Amino acid sequence: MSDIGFPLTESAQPQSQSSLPLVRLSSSNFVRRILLLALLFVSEVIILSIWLDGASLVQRAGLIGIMHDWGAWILRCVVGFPVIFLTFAYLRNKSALESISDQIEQTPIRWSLFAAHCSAMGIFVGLSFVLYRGGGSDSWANLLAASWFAVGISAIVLAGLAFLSWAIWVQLIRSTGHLWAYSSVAVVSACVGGNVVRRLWQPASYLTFHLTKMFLSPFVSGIIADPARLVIGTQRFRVEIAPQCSGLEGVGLILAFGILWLLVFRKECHFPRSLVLLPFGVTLLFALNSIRLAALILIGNAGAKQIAVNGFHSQAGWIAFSAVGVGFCLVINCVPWFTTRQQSGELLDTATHNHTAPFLLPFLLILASGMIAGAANASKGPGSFEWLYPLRFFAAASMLWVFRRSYANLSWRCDWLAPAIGAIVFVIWVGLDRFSNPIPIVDLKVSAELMAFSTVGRVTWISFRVLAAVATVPLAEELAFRGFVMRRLISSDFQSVSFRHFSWFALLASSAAFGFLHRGYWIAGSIAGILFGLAVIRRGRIGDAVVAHATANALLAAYVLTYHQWHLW
Amino acid sequence: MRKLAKATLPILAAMTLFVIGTPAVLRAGPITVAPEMDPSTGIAAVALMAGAVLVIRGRGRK
Repeated sequence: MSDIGFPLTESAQPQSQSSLPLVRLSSSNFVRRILLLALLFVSEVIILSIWLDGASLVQRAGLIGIMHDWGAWILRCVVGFPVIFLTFAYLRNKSALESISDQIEQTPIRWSLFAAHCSAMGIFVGLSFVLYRGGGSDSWANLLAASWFAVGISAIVLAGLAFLSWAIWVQLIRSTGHLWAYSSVAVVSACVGGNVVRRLWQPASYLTFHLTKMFLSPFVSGIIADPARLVIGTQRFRVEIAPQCSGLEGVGLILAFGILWLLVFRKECHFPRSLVLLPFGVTLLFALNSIRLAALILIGNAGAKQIAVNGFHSQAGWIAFSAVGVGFCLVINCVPWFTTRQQSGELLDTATHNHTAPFLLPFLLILASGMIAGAANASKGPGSFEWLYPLRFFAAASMLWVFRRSYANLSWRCDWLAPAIGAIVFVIWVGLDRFSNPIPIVDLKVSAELMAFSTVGRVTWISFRVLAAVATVPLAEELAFRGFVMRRLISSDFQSVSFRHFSWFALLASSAAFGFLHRGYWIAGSIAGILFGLAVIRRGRIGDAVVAHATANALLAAYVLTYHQWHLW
Repeated sequence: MRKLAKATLPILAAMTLFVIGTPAVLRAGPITVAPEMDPSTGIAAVALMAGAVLVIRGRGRK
């Protein structure tokens, strides 16, 4: 692979904030407030949905019965309405939003109302636990449910008013005309449509069944196929094609992705010819789903049933979607028949102007290789043994090597505080794990799988696992989250943003993204992200964050290996 | 045709997202209704796609 490295413009020297040539959208204040509000609501909904089990509301009467029957639809409408409304407001009424954005600059977030929101949420959580636990008379349950609704709505209103004043909300509704009505109709239509689409799952499963049989037949003789039960396979291994495996979800994802792309970058697309890519992507992904099922059967038939069920089944669909999605982007962005960019000269010298790639590609390669390695797993979930893990190390190391010259101008120095921050992160990480698992977990599963390896194999695997944890992962993740995401949230011209530039929004949003990628450890991950972010901002050196991250991972590796806490990896 | 496509796209986008896209994306995330699926895979895939878009769009951007 040729060296396509090029110097980055980021200087290690601190820049004064006033001299930053930031590219700011005139409506960015409004967008930021809305995103913060969305982040708050999404986090709260996710936490509540993990803790509360809707099944406990089954066959209950009155208001609770309504909650069970209509809860999911109400939630979809509550999420859908603001998304549709704000998307169209942003696209169609930019001037109104710019005016609102100017007013927002004068009105800070009202922390007293935010505190009231938190109090209301506290009551809401308490009521939720009582409500979902059940018991009591019908009238008591109805009173409880009514209070639950009232407190929930109050919490939403308080958060809304904390981030944007009443006057601004009124102005937003007035300046967008009848958009609220159109959005209401759209979201109700979408919910009804969503229900209708589910009826397509069964016929789509039949089509997938026959396609799978067609793809399987050249490789296996004596296929067992039961169209009535949608069971297909061989004497040794067979699967039932569930409605969720019909391929319609992949179709939905690629449609949503493709249409969003065409919408956002509509000025750079040739219409109507670009629309051709939608049915092409849908057909390709639907066919790939059947190929996935055929491959699943072949792997199981070859004797690797655990890999087929636990590894390949989970990962292959996502690998196919990612491949088709990336292909869609490349084709529509680079093929002149679809894009108008080349004509305006924007694609000239593309190879030498991609400043995003050195920051993101090492991390993206870790994700991509992780999906491939996961597909070869015999087990799944935290604590599963990923025998192909070295693939992640080589993927990241190769990208870091390719872009090595691009990193020359970044500041890699650090001081004593960096390892100290790393140690704090380690303590928080392990502390939160012990808090959620008071009885320490000893993952004998991974130990047993490792013991099945030869000594050389075992030492090699552990060496690469530790090497990745302390070298390639900290480098790749810090370049991506602190080097790119945190600065990109401040300005689209992220390289003009000094590493010392502080923004609450950028710090919290990049840390939340970092946290979410750490699966069950999203709280610890988000806290770690904040601390690593502060480490960078303190002196404007990415080296501080990398060393802090590497220290935390090294301590964690020692802890995992000493106490067999494999689930932490 | 171009105008029609541009006018229709936002409506198509909104409808698709909420008819099919949202349940699929939610299944990818922590709110999963398929216990046999590992939600972290979906999160990684969505992050991978977002990053790939940023890299591809990063081309030519100064």
